[in-house]
Amino acid sequence: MSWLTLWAIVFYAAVASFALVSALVAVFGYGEVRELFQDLAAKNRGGRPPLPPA
Amino acid sequence: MRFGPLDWAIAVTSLVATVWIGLRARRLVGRIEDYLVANRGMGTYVGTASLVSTEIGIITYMYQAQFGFLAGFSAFIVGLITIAVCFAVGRTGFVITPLREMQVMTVPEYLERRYGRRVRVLAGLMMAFGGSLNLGIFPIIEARYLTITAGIPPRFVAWTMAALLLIALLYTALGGMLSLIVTNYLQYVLLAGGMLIVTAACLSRIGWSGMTGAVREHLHGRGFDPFADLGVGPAFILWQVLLWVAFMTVWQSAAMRAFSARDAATGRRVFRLTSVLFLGRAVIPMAWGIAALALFFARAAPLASPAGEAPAAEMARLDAELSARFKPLLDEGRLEVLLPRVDRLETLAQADGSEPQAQRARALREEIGLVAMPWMVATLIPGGWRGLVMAGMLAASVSTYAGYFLGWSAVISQDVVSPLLGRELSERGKLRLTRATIVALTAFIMVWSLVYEVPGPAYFYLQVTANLFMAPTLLTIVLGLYWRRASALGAVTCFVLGAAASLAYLVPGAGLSVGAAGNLSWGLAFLGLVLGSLLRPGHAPTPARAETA
Repeated sequence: MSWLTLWAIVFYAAVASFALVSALVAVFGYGEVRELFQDLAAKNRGGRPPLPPA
Repeated sequence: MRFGPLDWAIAVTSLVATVWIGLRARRLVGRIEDYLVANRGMGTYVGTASLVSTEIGIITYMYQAQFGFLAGFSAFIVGLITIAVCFAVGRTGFVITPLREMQVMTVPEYLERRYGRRVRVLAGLMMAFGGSLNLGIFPIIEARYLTITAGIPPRFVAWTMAALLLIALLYTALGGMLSLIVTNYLQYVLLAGGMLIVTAACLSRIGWSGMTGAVREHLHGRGFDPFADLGVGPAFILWQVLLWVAFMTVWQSAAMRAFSARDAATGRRVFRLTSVLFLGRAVIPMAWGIAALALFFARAAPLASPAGEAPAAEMARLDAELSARFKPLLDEGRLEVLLPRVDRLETLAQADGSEPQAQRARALREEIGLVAMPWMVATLIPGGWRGLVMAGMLAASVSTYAGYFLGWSAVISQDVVSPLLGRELSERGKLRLTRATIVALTAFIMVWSLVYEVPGPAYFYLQVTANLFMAPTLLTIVLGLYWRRASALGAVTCFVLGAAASLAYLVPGAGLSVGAAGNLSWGLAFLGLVLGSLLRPGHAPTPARAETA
């Protein structure tokens, strides 16, 4: 296999996998952010100290 | 070519949305652990978004594109090294799993447990120094991108960068890692969209064959074989492998994602997913750089030289032309005028054996390489789409500042200032200290970016400043975990010798090549650790097991 063929495979694989994983992150990441915030809100309701003033 | 009202509206809206979301997250921060590691509740996908958006800034696009512009497809080897190393770390949990299981918040925190407080402070100082130098050139390089693509007049660029830094400062100082995680999610979506738009434009307007043709024709036989090419030899590749292992495991902003994960398994999954995105992080902007090379050479008119002109006379004429017109033409984006002249000057200088002239031509080519990609974006991307691309670039930029502010300020406050105070700070005190450090760091970066001139390609400067502490940190952690005799004296020697080699590269006129500085740093750091430890051995019981118990 020539260098040029290798770099063509690497480039197109990089673009395709970047697009695919980005789509997965966009879809499933939203749910994870919500879950993290709900968790923290529940802990705060459970009597943790409030944020000190900035 | 003009950045229109619609483009501005898109870009500004994206920034406003980011700040609004970041500030909302602040309400939930209660403890220093929420602030620095988001209560260790980060999931796989949001962790991946956070890690990748922190490690991709406008500067990443700029230096990767510059590397592609200069080295052609040979530069892609860095992408392959990155994916291999990142996947291996994610698969094995090398270093990140033991550190996550110890529940540390910063990397030097482990060093105190293993070697004592003095090593923690020294490591913290080195990290703060190298990390700040590394971050210090971001604004000035990113400012060039904004000037070119948005048409911001140069006199307003410093203000624009200040505004971006302040946006990052605002929500990071108030909301810490929690704000970062939620804003990073939005920022990742924007930056990924922006990257795909620019890539699609390159492929549709220039095409893969245009890119390969440009490398074949204009890099004089270089650009395909990384082993044969100047500057991308075995020493370079070895150094890159070591550097990426260190980057994935002990670079504070990357390691903080592992520390923030729900558990060690989630941390490892984040790194495995990230490996795929890190391949794109390297290869995609490098391809933009190659596309810019193709675009501007395709627009260049053939050079006409007077009949019978001797090579020495032609070289002198080109040199004089470039001395007079290089800067104005570069600022106008007339790269198609500059490139053939610089190329011809380099060819003549090499044929003549005139090393100073060849070096000058290479330096000019490096300068063109840094701005070629932004000029290409300004040329190729149509209105409206340009606003989306800018939103992606701004997201990348702000997320990087925010992530690095938090990472380095955590090290400065937790590992340098706090231990030196000699007493345990309250939760409120720790938060205040970290916030004050973020503000001080922002001020330093603004000043440093105005006064320092980068020696050589930005890519190498960034890696060498990182290497100031990466080699010693990784070695002290790995040997600390797996070698009983590793001692505090060895660790101190390791940090001092490892940093000295990298500093030699940064001193103007020292003449140390980047690969030599990188490998020397690793070699000396290793030697220092082993010799120091043999001279005065440590007495850790069974290091890895004792610390994780």
